Amino acid sequence: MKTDQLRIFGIRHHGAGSARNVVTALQQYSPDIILVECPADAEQLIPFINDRFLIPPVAILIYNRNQHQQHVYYPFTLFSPEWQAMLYANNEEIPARFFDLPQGQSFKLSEYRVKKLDGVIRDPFAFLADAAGMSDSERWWDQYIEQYQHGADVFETVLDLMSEMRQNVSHEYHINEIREAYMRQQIRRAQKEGFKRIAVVCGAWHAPVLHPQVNGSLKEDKRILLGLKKVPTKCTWVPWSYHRIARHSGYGSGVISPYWYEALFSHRDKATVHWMSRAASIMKDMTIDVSPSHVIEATRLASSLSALRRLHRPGIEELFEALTAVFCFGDEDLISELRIKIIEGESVGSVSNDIPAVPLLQDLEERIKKARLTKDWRQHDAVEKHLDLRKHTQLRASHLLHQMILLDIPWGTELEPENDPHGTFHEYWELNWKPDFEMDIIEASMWGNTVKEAASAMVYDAITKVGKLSSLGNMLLQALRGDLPELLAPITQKLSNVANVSQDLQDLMPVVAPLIWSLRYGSTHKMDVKGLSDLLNQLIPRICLLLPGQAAIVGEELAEDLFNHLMAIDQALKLLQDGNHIDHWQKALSKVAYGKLSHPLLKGASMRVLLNSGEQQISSVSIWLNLELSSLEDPFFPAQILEGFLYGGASVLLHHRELRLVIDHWITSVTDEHFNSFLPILRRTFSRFSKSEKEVLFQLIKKGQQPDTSEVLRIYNAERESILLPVLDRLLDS
Amino acid sequence: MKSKTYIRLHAEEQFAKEITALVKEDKSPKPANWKLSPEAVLVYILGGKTKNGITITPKYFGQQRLVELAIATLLTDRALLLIGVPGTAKTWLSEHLTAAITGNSTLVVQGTSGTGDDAIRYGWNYARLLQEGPSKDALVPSPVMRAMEAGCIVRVEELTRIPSDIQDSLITILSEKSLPIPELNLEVRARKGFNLVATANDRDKGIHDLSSALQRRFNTVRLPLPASLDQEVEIVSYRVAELNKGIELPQDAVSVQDIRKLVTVFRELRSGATEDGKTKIKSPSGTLSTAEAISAIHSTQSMAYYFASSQKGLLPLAESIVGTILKDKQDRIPLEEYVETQMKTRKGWKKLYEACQQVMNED
Repeated sequence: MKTDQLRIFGIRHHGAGSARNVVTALQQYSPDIILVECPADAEQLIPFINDRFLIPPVAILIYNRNQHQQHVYYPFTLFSPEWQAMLYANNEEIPARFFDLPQGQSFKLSEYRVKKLDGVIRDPFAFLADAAGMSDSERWWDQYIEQYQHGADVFETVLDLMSEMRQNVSHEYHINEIREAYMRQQIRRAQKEGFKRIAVVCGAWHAPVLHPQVNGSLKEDKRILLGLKKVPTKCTWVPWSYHRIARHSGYGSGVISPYWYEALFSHRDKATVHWMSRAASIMKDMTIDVSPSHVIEATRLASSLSALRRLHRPGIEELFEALTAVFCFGDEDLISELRIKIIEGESVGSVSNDIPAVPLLQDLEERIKKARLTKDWRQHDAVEKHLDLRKHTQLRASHLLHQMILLDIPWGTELEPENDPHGTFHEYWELNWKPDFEMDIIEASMWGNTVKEAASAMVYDAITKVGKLSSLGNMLLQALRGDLPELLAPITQKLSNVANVSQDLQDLMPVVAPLIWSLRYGSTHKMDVKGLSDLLNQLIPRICLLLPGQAAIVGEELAEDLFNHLMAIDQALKLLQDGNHIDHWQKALSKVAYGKLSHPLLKGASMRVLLNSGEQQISSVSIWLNLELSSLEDPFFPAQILEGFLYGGASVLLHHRELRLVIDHWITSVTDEHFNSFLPILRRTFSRFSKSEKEVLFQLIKKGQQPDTSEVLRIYNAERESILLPVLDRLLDS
Repeated sequence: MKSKTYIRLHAEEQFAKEITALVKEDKSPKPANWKLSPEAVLVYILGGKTKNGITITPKYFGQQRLVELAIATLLTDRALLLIGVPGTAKTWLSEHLTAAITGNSTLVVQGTSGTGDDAIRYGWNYARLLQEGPSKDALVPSPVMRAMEAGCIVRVEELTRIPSDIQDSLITILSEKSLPIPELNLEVRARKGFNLVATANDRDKGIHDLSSALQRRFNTVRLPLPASLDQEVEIVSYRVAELNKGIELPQDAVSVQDIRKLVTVFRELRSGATEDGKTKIKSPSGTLSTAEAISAIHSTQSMAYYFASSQKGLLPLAESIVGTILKDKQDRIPLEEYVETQMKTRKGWKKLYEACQQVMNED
């Protein structure tokens, strides 16, 4: 039975063609009410559509009022048929309603009645695509439905197609039956209220079963919906981005290229040229050489490619292939870096201030104000900030920045000061705001209503999931420095659970330094750090036991990692000043240094550490170096020994003539061929020396003798002088 | 048939039957001077069946979309550049594309460091030039010039080996579609259907990169190495069988399992990881392309066939493997490691392992 009192328009979410067709169809039909497939409990948000500050892409966020983690987003773009339908309703001043099952009930249902049937087909269109010989359903829909300019007639076709499909393909989630019953009930309600021309805009899949006089009886639908419980919900508009609508980012109803759809919606016949020109201008910004003739050629290639494939017009695949062949000389690596920009588009939506913001954002803005960071918030240029933690406001800023890192909103990145990291009252930050943070904040708001609460909740959640020691260690340090001392105990507990079962140095070593910093931080702030120091008491001896063995079997890449960890641990241990640990550590290092099989990089580094700490005498070190450099099998071996040994600067070479002689002897004895092969390593090694170090070293080698005092004096540093002089001035004055 | 006496047949001779069959039932619109419609060219390259039931053998085993891209390029007036490491079937694809489109794959410029202007534009018959002065009869047209006059496709092999200044003489031809002959105050203008397919290798030593002006005249299609072990084994077996037809070697001198092993070794060393992706392997210096796998198998067969008495069992295969991989002194360590850690432990590889060891100890 088809009367003109009800028309059902089956669409594809975010289908540009559907959006155009819906607009045409609505204009022809001129309905007196529009029902849109979206949860009914978000209906209050419809009027905001006319707000000129609400710019798509945006999403409706619905969340459980009592438990914010339970939430869902419904994204809309300019080319979403639902968005266009709502715009139409607002412009024509006819009512629009959301008529899908309220989200509060869906939340409840998902708690109790997740009943997935066997052999369920998630994507029925995949069948059609497969039958047409296409790689995926989006491509099929794109070619056969979206890109045809059928206008309003297309909906009849879609309806027929879908009813055929629903009869022949086993499908259905249980929840779909409930939703469809609810939607039929809402249509009945509108009919009862006396609307004469009802337009229904819904996903194509539901279209065939929504006609209340054809499908399902009133009685049956009432039975299905009887006794449904619900949770209280709240909803709001939030900004969204093309990146999040792209399928690539994991959004189920996503499309491959949101920007392509926008071009299709806005420019129709000229969409290909628009898309190509935009890609060209993006590439120009990346200083890749492209010209308008490239755009013309790529457009032509895309068209001939689609003709060859018997397609109505080029799709995103043809566009991308043409782009690669014409712009990038066939190099897919080059283009994969630009993929996100070109394929997805970078549009980010916005919402006005009148729309209720999530509580977390309010709290965040409050705290930014208190920390006096307002002028840096939402600034596109990166700024560097120096925080003096003895000052109250700046300490607040530091806490806030650390908490935001825990929330995965890395507004600030901490810069490592040159000397003594974490040891002073100073912190150096780089603040770099990104538009994406707006959405990150919305997402983070699911964890709590204040920054502190949310950060803490997220960490608690992470503790249950994260199994990597180093991330746990860093998390602990962040938590302590972010003024969340209550996290100390649970993270430490988790750390010891994980550490006890791990035998992997790669895993164990990187956690030591953050733990030592945390321990120090905790004890100066009078926290109970016994658990932490117990953990270190276990960890350090274990690492010391494992290290010599591991050093003998690592490959190149791992050796570099271990090398960095080794340096970090050494630095941290110096700070800890625990005789026992240092004893263990030095014994392990000496095993590495003298181990026959140890990796040369680690060998060199260990010996240097031992020499610096006074554990090894210079005479024995030079004998050792002589021996190691005499290795003939592998020319890289001596070079890497030196790289490790000289990592900490040239001072040993300046002060110890013996070592210079050993190296000198070695350099003059290697063959040209060998020399050339390890030259890059040597260059890397020596480039780490400061300029003045290099100059003095050069002088010494020229003279071939010990430096006298006048030369040592010349290793001075203008920067240090400028710090020192004012202080001296003041001292002398007073 | 006369052509039977040649070692190698041109694509259009070897697959004449298939081309005729396709021409016969090709009803789709054809671009000017094309023998087949673009769709039929696609069928010719990728294989299939005609309506009359004649089987079209697949010529290219890689991704269909790349072939489509290549054909679509030739439909526009841009030239096509096929790029890739040796053994990615660049030349093979260009020959078959040309054969299917124009029925003649013999207009070729072979690029070398000695290729001169006359191979791309025109040369002179000096005897006539001296006798008659500059005239059209004294002109020796290059393959490119002949293709322009005939409105068909010319191939340029190894474009990047040609010195840069000679490469650049293609620019006018590709953008203006005409070739001026200032000496005669004439020009040769390209007829419809003219286009150019070039192949190039951008990883080798001793190549000249294209100038950006020339690069702009090309659509570039990068041909990848075969994606899977099965695919590569299939390609190697197919090409080796083709080679053997020419020199009349028996087809079964090397078993499929052995081809599979050799391809596995090459692939694993090339990619630096085992096929299952679980173990890292040191890579030697060579490219170890599919082309090298083909010639290694081919030489294995010849050795096993002609020196059957001294080369027993898997020795010839091991010789080929070791010989192909050891290009440089430093290749020895990766190979030794591979033999000792991978070959030794694999099921069914014992004989090959022993043979490889024997060969390497002899070195």
